[in-house]
Amino acid sequence: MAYHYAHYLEHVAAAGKQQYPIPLYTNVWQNYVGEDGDNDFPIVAGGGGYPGDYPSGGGTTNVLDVWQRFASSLDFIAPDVYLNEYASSCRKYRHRNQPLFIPEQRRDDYGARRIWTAYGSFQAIGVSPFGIDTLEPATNPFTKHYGLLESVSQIVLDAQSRPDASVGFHFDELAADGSDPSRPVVKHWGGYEVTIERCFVFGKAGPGAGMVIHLGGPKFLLIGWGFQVRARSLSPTSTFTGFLHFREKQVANKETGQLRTLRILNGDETRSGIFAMMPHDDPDYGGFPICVTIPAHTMIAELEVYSIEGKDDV
Amino acid sequence: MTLSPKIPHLRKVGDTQQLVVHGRPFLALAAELQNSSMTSGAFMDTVWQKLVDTNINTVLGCVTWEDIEPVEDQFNFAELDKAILGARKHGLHLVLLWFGSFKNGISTYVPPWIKTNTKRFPRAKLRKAGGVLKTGDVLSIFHDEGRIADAKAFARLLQHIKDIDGEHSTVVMVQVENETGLLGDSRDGSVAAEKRFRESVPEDLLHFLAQDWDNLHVDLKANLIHFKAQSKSQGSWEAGLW
Repeated sequence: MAYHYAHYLEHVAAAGKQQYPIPLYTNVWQNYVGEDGDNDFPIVAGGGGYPGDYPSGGGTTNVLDVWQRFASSLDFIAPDVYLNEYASSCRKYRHRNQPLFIPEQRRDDYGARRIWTAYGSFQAIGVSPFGIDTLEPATNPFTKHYGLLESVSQIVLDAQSRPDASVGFHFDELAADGSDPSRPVVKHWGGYEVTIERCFVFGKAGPGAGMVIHLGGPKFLLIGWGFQVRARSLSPTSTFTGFLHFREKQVANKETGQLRTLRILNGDETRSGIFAMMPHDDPDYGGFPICVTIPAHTMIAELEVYSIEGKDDV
Repeated sequence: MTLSPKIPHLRKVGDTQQLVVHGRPFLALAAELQNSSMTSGAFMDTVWQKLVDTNINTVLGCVTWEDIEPVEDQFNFAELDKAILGARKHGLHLVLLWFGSFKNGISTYVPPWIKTNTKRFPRAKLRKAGGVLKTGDVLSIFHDEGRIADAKAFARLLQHIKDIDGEHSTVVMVQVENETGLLGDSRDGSVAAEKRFRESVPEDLLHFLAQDWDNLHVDLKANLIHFKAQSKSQGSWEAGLW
C-alpha cells in the first residue's frame, strides 16, 4: 500500500509544486505498538501494532524509503510523535539526511521539554505541538521554551549547520519514589568529556531542558535551565580539569546571534568550580538554611574549561 | 523549473537542510491549531494574538478540500485569504495542511460531490471476518478520478497561494494530506485493488530495493529478509513481498 499511496501523493504534490515550488511534505501516524513505544495510556485513537491498526501504507519507518523514492516531490516525510520515544523517532526520520520537522506532538510539559532534542541533536526545522489554540499563553509550557529559543534562533541555526556541534536534552520530573527517569548526557568535544546532568539542589530537583553547543576548542554555550555541566580532559597526560570562565550571557543582537556578558559566574554558581550550573526557576532548598542556589535568569551562559597537562611541581 | 530564491525553500547545510524564508535561515517555533479552527477567519481573529503571546512564529492550520471546492471546478478561497492576512498582520508564518483526499486515514474532507458519487470516486473495501467487504469512509487509491481531482484542487490552491502570498512568504510550507494510509485493513479489498495485488510487483520497486539495499532503513530491511534471500525476486504482491 505504501508504494501506491506514495504514487497518489506524488501525483498531487507534483501538480502543486508546478504552480508554486515551496517546500512540501506529508506527515505520518506512527505505529504506537513498537519497540520505541513511550506511553502508559490505553490506546484509544492510536491503534495497535499491525498495518490497518495504524494507517497502512503511510510513511512509517518500515516503508520510509519507498516514500522517499516514489514521492520525490515531497521534500521530506515527517513523523507525528505522540506515543513513541521522542529521540529515536527524531533519529529515524533523519534517514538519508532528510530534514526533521515534527508537525504534531504533545503540547504538555513532557512534550515541550523534548523539543530541545529535536532542535539541538537532530537539527530540526521545527516542531509543532498539536491543539495550541485551546491553551492559554500564561500556562502553556511552550511560552517559556519558545521564548528562549526565539531569542537564540540564530545561534541554534548556526550550530545546526555544523555537524555534531550541539546536543539537546531534557530531565523529566523525578518519580514519586524519588528515582530519576532521565539519564545524564555525555559528549566528547574538543578533547573533553562533557557530562550534562540534572542541576544540583539541596531539596527535590526539578525538571530541566536545554542544549549545549560546542563553540570550538574548550568553549561551550549552555542554553536552558535545570541542568549542570561537568568537563574532564580526555588527554592521558592531563592531571586536572577546571573552569577558566563561566559567564552569564544575554542576547545583544537577535539577528546576528551576538551575545554580551551579564554576570561573571563563579563560587556557589559553579559549586566552587565543579559544576557549571544552569539553575531551575525555583530551586528547592529542602530546608537547608544557606541560600547558595540561585534561580534561573537569562538561561544562557558560556563556559570555558582548561586542563593541566603533566607535572607542574618539579 | 528554477527555484526562486525569493520564495521559501530548503537549503542544504552541513548534513541537513534548513528552511530559508526571506533569504535567511528560519527556525520554525511552530504549533498546530485544532482541526477546524482555520475554517473561519472570524474565529482566527480571536486566536492570533494568543499565538503571538505564546512566542510561536509559525502556525499549522487546515485548508480543506470541501471548503475550497464545494462544487466541482468552483473554487472559493475567501476564508483562507482571511487567515493568511490575519497571520501576516500578526507577524506569523503559516504551514497550510491540505486536508484533501486523506485525513487521518479516511476521506471525510472530500467535497460532497465526491462523497456522493461513488461510481466516479469508488471507496476502499475493508475485508472483515467471514469474507464480508465493508465500504470504507475512504477513497480507493486504485482508481484515477480521485487523484486527478485532488491534484487539480491542490494545484489551484498552490497557484492561489502564489498569487496572494508570493511576495510575502507568509506561507512557508504546505503539508500534502494528513496521516495518509488505510485504517481497518492492511490493504484495500476492492475489485480494482484485488486485481492490482495479483499483478507482479512493479519492476521499479524491485529494482530500487535491490540496488539501494545498503541505504535502506533498518526497519524496512528487517521486513525484507525473504526478498534479500532471493537472487532474482519476482512474483505478485500477494504471493511474495508484503
